[in-house]
Amino acid sequence: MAPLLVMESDLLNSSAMIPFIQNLNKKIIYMITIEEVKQLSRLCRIKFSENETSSLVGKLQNVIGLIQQLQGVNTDGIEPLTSVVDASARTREDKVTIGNIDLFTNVPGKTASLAKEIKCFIVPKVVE
Amino acid sequence: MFYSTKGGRIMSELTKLKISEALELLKNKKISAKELVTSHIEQMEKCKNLNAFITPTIDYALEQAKISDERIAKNEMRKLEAIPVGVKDLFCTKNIRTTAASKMLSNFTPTYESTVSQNIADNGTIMLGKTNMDEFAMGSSNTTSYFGNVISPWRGAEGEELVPGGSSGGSAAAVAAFASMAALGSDTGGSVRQPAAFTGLVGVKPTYGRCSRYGMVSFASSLDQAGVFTRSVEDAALMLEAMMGFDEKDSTSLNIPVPNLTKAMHESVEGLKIGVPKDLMEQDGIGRSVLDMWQHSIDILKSEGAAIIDITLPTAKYALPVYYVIAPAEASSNLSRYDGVRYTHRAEQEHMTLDEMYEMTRSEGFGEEVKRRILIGTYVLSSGFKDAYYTKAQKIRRLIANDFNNSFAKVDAVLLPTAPTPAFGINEKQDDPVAMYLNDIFTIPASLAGLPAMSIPAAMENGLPLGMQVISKALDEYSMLRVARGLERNIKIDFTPRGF
Repeated sequence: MAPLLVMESDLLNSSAMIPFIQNLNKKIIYMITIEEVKQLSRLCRIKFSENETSSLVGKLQNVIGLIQQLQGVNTDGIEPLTSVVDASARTREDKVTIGNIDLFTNVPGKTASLAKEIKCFIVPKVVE
Repeated sequence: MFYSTKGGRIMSELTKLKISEALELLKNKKISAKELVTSHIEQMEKCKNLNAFITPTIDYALEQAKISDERIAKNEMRKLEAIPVGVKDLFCTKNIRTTAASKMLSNFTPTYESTVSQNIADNGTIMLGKTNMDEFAMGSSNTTSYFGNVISPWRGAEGEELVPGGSSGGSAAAVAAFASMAALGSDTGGSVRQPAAFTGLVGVKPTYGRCSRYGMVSFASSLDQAGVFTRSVEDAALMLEAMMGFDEKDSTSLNIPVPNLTKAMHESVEGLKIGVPKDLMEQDGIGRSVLDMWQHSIDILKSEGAAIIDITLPTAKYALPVYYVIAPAEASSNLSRYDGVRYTHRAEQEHMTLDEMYEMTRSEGFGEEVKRRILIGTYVLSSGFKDAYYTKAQKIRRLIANDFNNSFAKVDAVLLPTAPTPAFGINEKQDDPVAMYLNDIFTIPASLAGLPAMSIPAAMENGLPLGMQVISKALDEYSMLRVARGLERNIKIDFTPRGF
């Protein structure tokens, strides 16, 4: 059973929310659908069976219920915290310092020995 | 504490030594590195059923023991010479299989060493093996490993098998079972502190940026930190001094000197101001014994001359959902590299397209919890949701960090429990991910703010250990250890598991 929650008005108006919101008794219910789970698995390139997908809907719904709590927190004027340390990249001279690493030690698959020989990673054909 | 029988040593006694004691005995040639290492290898064998190790490195350890004995003979002892340690299987160890407890990396042999494991080896520690963990460090029970659960050396009142905590469960079990004198772990949302609390150990997560993340299999890059398990606060200080330090190869590594932490062992807590977040104690599900332990710890520190100051961390109650947005988001990005192309498991199916290879590889290679977190991460970062979830969570993260900053204007350290309960049974809490996530409720705030935090064993409940957590301001591991030592000095409980 999907958790009930009240959404902030700016989120309500966001067009991205429309496909996934059902307005019921003036409260907004957020539900994750099986289609959404299938779309997500496509995005992250993980294949699930039909059974796994159904079971995931329930488990994801629990987690989404948890993270929905954040919507009620006032964050006006607050900048996101992206890093707890100074995240500006250190630069150095453009010179090779670590070379000669064997990139093919762990190459997987039936084509592994060929890959090591020609020093190329071998994958299924992409371009005809 | 140990003595000869017919000219030999009682090997089991050597495993009960603290690091500082072992170093003294080695220096004075009362014990040899070979004896120290062999005693631990024997102990590893005795408690094999705990499944604390994924890849034991016995031959390597014995070779290193020989080298240590040569150095000791020449009076060239390094700071941690011959100390037998476990290394969480999240740290790349050159030419030694590193799996992150996943099928995805089950045959992965790194061609380089992580900075932190190199640092401690440079100081003379001897690796006994790669310890078991939750897959890709995602979990708080060590029940998601591809290589099977880790069982805690602690048992329930009726002898039930318990979890050691997670994700660094193998490291915790190894040290608590006397099969290692210390072990490296990693702490992203509590993965060193919580298992330390569950197994009666000292567990430390230093300030974000103190330890290099080079060579650590990445989970959530803005949260991951190397940490350590030991059986005393002084041992933790010794290990941390070796682990910490600037590394060019990690862009988030802080270029600041490593403090002298062992000096903190000799300082009382007199004059320190300890903040107690009363509002966090209103969380659901905290046991009576945990609350009693907290009060007792406050009383100890007060009697030792510290000032106790009430503080509030009003946004910390949102730490759990904030973490479960940010960590999976970063994980989904970090784990996108596992594609079957270069160094991972690869799905083998006739006539796969490239996309099918990716999908099958990742479906086969990842366990259920990892897939779930990748999905959550993909969800909160997906178009249309990123602002509502991820950016929102990052803003609340700043509020949580601000709460700590405000508190540290008034206090030197914050004191609260590490976990809301003692260790639970291995088969409990498996169905509801959120119930499992609640184990991290006290550890997550310090992770989000990047602050140094540690757990020390402080009480028992029905024969099981409970841990108190000390958090200090960024880079102030010194004060944190001072407070921990102050508690340790006054807690006269033997945290040895029954039967060990």
